Order: sequence, then structure tokens, then C-alpha cells
Amino acid sequence: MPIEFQKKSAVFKDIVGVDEAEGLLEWLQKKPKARVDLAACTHLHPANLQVLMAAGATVSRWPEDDSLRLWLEPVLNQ
Amino acid sequence: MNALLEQFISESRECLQGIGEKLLQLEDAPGDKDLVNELFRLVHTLKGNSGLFEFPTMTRVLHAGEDLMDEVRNDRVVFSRLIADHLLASMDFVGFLCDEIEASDGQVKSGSGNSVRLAEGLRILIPVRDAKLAEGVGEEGAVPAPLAPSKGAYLEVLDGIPERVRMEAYRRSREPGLYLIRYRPVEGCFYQGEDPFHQARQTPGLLWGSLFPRGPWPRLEEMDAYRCMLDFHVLSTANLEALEEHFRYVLEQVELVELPILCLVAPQGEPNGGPVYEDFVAEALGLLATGNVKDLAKISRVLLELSNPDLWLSSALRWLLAVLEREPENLTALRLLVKSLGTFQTPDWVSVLAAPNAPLPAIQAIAHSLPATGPVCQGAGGLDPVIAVTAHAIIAIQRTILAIKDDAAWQPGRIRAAAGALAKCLKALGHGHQALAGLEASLSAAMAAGHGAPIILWLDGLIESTSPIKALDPPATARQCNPGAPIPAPPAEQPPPQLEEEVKLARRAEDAQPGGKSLKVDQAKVDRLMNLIGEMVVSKNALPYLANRAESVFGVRELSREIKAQYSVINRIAEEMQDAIMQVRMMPVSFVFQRFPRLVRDTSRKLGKEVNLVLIGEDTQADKNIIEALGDPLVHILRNSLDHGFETPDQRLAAGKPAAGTLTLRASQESDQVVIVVEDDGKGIDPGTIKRKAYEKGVIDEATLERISDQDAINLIFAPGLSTTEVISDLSGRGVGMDVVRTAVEKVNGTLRLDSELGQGTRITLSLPLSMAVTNVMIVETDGQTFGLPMQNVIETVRVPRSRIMGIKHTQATVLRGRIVALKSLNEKLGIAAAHIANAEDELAILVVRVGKEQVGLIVDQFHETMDVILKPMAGVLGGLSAYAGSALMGDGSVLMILNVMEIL
Repeated sequence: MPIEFQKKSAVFKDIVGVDEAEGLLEWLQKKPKARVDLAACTHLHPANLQVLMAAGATVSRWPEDDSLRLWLEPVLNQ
Repeated sequence: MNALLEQFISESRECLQGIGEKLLQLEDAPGDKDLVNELFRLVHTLKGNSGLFEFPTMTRVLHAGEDLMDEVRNDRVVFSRLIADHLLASMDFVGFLCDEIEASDGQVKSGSGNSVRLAEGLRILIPVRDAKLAEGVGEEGAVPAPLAPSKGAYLEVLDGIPERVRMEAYRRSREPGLYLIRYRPVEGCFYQGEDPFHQARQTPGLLWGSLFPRGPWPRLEEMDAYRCMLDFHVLSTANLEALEEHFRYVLEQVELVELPILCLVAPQGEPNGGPVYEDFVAEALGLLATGNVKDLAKISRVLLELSNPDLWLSSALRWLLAVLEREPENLTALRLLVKSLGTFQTPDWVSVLAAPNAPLPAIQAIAHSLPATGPVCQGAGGLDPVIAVTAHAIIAIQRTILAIKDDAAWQPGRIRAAAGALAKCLKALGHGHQALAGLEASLSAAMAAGHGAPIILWLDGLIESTSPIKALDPPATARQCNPGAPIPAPPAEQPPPQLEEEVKLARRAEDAQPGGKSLKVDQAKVDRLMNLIGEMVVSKNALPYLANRAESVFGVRELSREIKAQYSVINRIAEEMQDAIMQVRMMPVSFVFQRFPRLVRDTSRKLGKEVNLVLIGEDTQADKNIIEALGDPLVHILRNSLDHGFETPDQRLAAGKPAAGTLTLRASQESDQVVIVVEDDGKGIDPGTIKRKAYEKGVIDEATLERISDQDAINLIFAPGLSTTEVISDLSGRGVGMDVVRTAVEKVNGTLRLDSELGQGTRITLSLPLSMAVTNVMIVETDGQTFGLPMQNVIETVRVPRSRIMGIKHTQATVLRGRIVALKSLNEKLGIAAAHIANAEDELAILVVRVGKEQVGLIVDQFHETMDVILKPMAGVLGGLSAYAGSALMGDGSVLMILNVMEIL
């Protein structure tokens, strides 16, 4: 699974595809204070991204992939 | 390149030609409804075809063209020359794309931008009738009216980029300009499998990118995760072509704005009260005036160290240092930047750099590439450098024109035109009457001489006489005026891109040869050529007879040998010719196969079955007639197989087979036959049911019913009487139209064979001749007469001692390699009252032929050679003689009768 839903945190791995967005949205509705760990993520489909942005999700770890990090830092909360 | 694509290209070219013709006719007769309809049909066809492939650039233009023609057709738009112009330009563009597709094997690499522009050009001509229509057009993915991008607005976007990122981009970039891309994906794009974020991240030459929501976020409960709500901004150093290529599928959702790289230079920070750095500004300007950039860098660094790094001033100084580092020769930019230190206003790079005193890069390039005729513009002291350089370029070109020595009929006109252009340039450069009078004089000399040399001489004289003055050296001027930065073209001085493109395309249409390596020829002409070659193949056969006669009748052995040598040469050429004409008519079976994937998919979907189609040997070739004759029978066979051969997935699973069946369509060439095998792994055919049904229908009698083998029973489905649906309905349905299949195959001299194993599947094998033009026959002799037999029936020729021929009941037979072969006498069959003649060892000549699946030995007197003949069917009263397949003309002028083996045995 590209997204591993833990108790208080969603861990994104590798490439997170469009299919994950629905599940992510549901999960974030249930856990509005959850954090996301993007360290191992190399790309995520914008459907997921806009869910994270709309939910105002807090990023616990930024992507190790610098190019992705540069895109995400301005739009997501630390 | 696959055959479908090839066909598409050749058809497209035909369509394009048709469209061109119709457009021109329509200009003469604008009211002709038929022409308009025909034109619409052509554009529509072309668009439909292009949609089959992934050529969005082509489809976009054609779609716009189709919409426009639809308006014309419905009298909502009046056909005008303007419409014709736009359509012709668009069709030229499509033709250009066709060339490119052909050259690059199905790839379209360029033209996305042009395609959008052309499509826009066409759409502008369509009046928007109401909002609904406009919406409808938008939904279809057509081009929405482009937002006029204002560069000022984009500077705000740039301001949003952190200084660190901009500085990094500015330092790293080697390009003089950069593009700001605004990408607004359509809301439903996720459903089309698009990933706009990925698209944006992969932008070539990416410097920086950002994404932002289109509006406030909805509450999570109401949010639709799959409706795209993000826009993207990307800054890239790639060129326009690369960007258009990258965004080619979403080009209408993208705005590209070219900005000079200096636009990145925008200081930010605390203004800190007011301007207190006037001393520094004055000193820096002084240093710039003397070109002392080194010291400027030094004092800037000192001031930067003394200042709080968060100040606007510090930011501006950092930028000043960056510009000094990257383009120290760009004094204009430096001066502006220094001045801004006093005003705290970021220089307005776009408008400053676009000022008309900056020469256009294109003209600079010309100026550099031209020979040094510079001094001609000596009078241009106070002249706008752009005009000077341009005039300069024109003069050089006129000189080249005058130097042409081809004694063309229009030479005088050309000289006069060049002189006219020269006069105007000189006037523009401020030359007086004296120079013009000189030109006048040299012109009359040139007219008298009939060539341009006198004017060139005069022109060179003018250059020499004015060179010491050297008031203005254009290349130098150009360099000096070059701010080292890209100059966004001021709209007034450069034609809009669309116009430029039109000019280019128009030229292309005139220059390009009506290309195309393929030639469309009426089939009758090819057939005639083939008949003639066939005749030649046959008539060359007369030469060996001639050689024999030369030797035996006239006794000239030398001549006979020479004739034979000549014969072998002619024979080789004739065979090659025959081969070549065959190649002309050859087509790959993929021509028919290509429609099957769709047919199988649709039919199986409708029937609720799962079937995988496997195509093998699509590039096997055969004569056009054969290939065309193959289409319908194969459709019948495939449909039958899908309808009745395959079980439903449940039944298949119950029978221990995979849920999805496999339908294999295999083509191969075996000697001079094309063999097509259609094989399924369905439930097969039950011979018992067929037998019963055939008996009930009276196709077979009771005796046959008793002894018919299962294999023969299955083949009964090809019998005409069985081919009605109500008979077939409960016996797996096979036989619907199967006799039609057999008839079609036999019409082209093919054979059909069916094998089926109950529960395992069915295999239908079609064997067809590669070509029908020339028949290879074996010549045999009996009772002093010669006959031909088609080689495809002949298996072997043997000589069997009379002693080994045994009589079984009334018939004769012999044992050949352990198999009993029934023997028939050809004399007997033809009603010739003579015994067969054996050779010296008392052996009889036996021709083993294939009759259906059996082998039969035909006793003859003598074997002769095999020969290619043109088989002419029997006509008139002879047509009723079924024993003969036809007649052929021999090389010595005699007529050879070709036996129909199936009939006589």
C-alpha cells in the first residue's frame, strides 16, 4: 500500500496514485488532527495533494526528494 | 510503420487534395450547396480518421475546420475567401503533419502551437450564437478563447517566488529568456488518467514551480477528491517548442508567457525609511558610465556588508552583484538597477527592454551574417539603428539579386525592381539626390547591358567613397544596443505568430512537390500490365521450341545454343517482371485482420463472453484479390466461432478451462499458398448432431449416414442445405453462412478444411493461392496428346513396374511406400480407346494427385515439364465441359487443355 494509515499518522511511500485519494479523504475526516509522513514519498497524485491541502493536514516529515519538497513546502503546514 | 497508418496517410493526402480542389471550386461558385456538403464530408472524414490515431495536433485543427464547415453548411456562416484562406492554411498544416508522421514513423513532434493557433483562427470565424453552443464547444475539448495574457500580471507571480529561488534560477540559467507557464487542468482531468502535478513536475527546463487552489477549499465532507481544484505555475528555461511538445495534450489548458530573464531580478525587503543612498547611486552611475564594472562590484559588496540583509537595499545589491556576475556587459540593465536603489522601485524590465530603440534579435542576426556593406549607411548618423540595420540588410540582398547571371527573360524587370528597392533604402538612410542620380545612371547602363553589373559597380563605388567616414558601424551598434537580455518582441514590430505561420505554410504549399511516393493507379491498368506480362511469360516459352527446330530441322547447332542462352536471359527478366507485378498487387493480410480486434471485442462483450484474440503472421502477403476475397468469409467464421464456438465464462470454468477463451488467427505462407487458420478453444462440434440434422434435411441419404466418418460429418456444415438458421440453432449454430464461406473461398481457387474435437475446440483452415494470374501446370502425354494438370493437385510422379500393379475387384492399385494407392487410367477417364504405353523397362508412368484428402494415381504415357500458363476458362459451348478447367496457349502456338482433376476422378 502506498499509504500506510497508522494510529495518528499516514505514511506515504513511493508513488501515491489517484486511487488512494478517496481513502485518504475518509481517513482525514475521521482524524482531523492526524499528521502525514511524506519522507519516503517520491510523487503523489494531485488528488491526494488537494485532499491534504483542503484538510490542512500537518506534515510531520517532509519528502526526502528535494524536488517534491520544494513544491509541497509552500502549500502544506509543518 | 504499420499498414493502417500508411493507409491513413495516403487517404489523408487524397482527402487534402480533394479539400483543396473543392475550396478552389467553391471560391468560383460560393453558393454551390453540393460542393459545401462534399467539402464538409471530406473534412469530417479526415477528422474522424485522425481521431483513430493519437495525433491531437491534427485532430484539433480538423475539428475546428469541421465545425466551421458545419456552420457554412447550415447557412449560419457565409462562405468567404477568408474562410477558404484559413482552411487552406490549415490543410497545408495537416499535410505537413502527414509528411512528418511518415518521415518519423508515426510520431508527431512539433506543431502543437501552430495547431492551437490555426484552430483558434478557424474558430474565430464561427459566430457564437448563444451561450449553450459556446458551452458545448468548450465541453468537447475545443479551444476556449485564449486569455490575453498581460505580462504585468505575471510579474506578480514572480514576486511570489522567494528571492533565494529566483537568484538560484537566474545564476543557473544559460538562456536569455524564460517561460512562465500557467497550467489550469480541466476539472475532470483525473478521470482521463491525467496527473497534472506530474506533468508540471516533468516540465523541461524546470526552474521553479508552485501550485495553488482555484478557490477556497470546501468542507471535507463535501469535497470531491477527484475534481481537480489545483492550478500550477511553472518557470522554465526550455524553448517554446519543447514546452509545447511537453504539454501537447493539454495545450489549451496552458498559457505560456515569455519573459526576459531579468524579470527575475526583483529586489524585495524592508524599504527602511527613505532614500539615503544617493551618494552610492551617483558613484555607481559614474562607474557605469566609464564601464568600470569591477569597482562597481567592489563598492556594492562593501555596502552590502554594512547593511542589514533584510533590507530592500540589501536585496537590490545582491541582485546587482548577480547581474554583474552573469552579464556584466549589460550596462542598460545595471544602470536601471542602480537607479532603482534611489527609488525603491523594481525596474519595469518588460517595458524598458521592449523599448523601440532595441534592435530585434532577428535583424541583428542578419546584420552579422551579411558582408560588410556597412558604410553605405553613412548618412545614418542620427538614425534609428533598427532602420539602419534593416536597410543595410536589404541593400545586401539587392546586391545578391543583381549578381544573378541566368539570362532569364525577366532579367530587366528584376534589375529595375532591385534598383527601386535600392533607391528607397538610400533615401531612408539619408542619401541625397546625388546618390540617387548615380543610381539612375547605373540603372540605365545596366538595362542597356542586360545585366546588373553596372549597378553593383556603382554600389561598390559608393561604399568605398563613404567608408572613411564610418559614421555608424552597424554590427557594433547592434552589439552596443544589445542589452544582453532577451527582448520581448514589441507587438507593433513583429507580425503576430499566426500571420508568420501562414506565410510559412503558404510558401511550403508552393514549394513542396506534390509529394508522395505512392502512386494511385487504376486497378484495371495493373491488371492489363499483369496480363501482358503473363502473355510474355508464355510466349518466351516459344524460344526453346525454336532452338530445337534450329538444331533438328536446320541443323545449326551454334544458333540453337545461342537461342537457348538468350532464352535464359529473357526467362530471368520475365520472371522478375512477373514477380514485380505480383509485388505491386501484394497486400499484407493485416489489411483484413486489423478490423478483427474490434469485432471480437464488441461481439464478445455483447454475448457476455470473454475472448482473447491472438493475431499471428499479420505481415503475410497475398494478392489484392485474394486478400479482399478473404474479408467476408473470415468475418463469418469469426462471428460463428464467437457466437457458437465459445462457451460462457461459467461453462468454461465448469469444464476446467480458463474463463477467457482464446481465438487464434494465424496467417502463414506455405509454398505458393496462403494458409489462414482460425482456431478456438471452445466446445467444438458434435458430429452426431450434424449427421442427424443433415439426414433430416436431406443433405445425406441413409447409407451415407451409416458410413460417414466424424470428420466428414463435421465438414457437412459447409454443405448448402445446412446453412439455414433454424437447422443449426441447437447444434452449436455452426453453419450459418458457412456455405457462403466455402463458395467465396472456392471462387479464388482456395480450399477449406475444418477440424473439431468435441469439448476442445475447432480449427478452420483456409488455403488460398498467393496469386491467380499465372497457373503452374504439369504437362503429361497420353495417346500422343498433351494435357496439363494444375501443380497444386500433383503430389509426385513415379514409374511403377507393371508387375506391381494389382487388380482389386474392378480397380487397379499399387503399393507406394507402404500405402495402397488406387490407380485410374487417364485414357479410360477421357474415353480414349488405347492402352497406356510403358517404357523400355515395362514401367508405367503414374502421376499421384490429391483429390480432396485422398491420393490417387493417374496412369499416363509420359511426363513432360512443368510450365507457367495463363489459364483461360472455357467459354461458349465448351464451358459445359467440366472435365477441363480451361485452356492455355503453349509457346509453339498449340493449345493445351488443362484437366480438372476433381471432376475426372
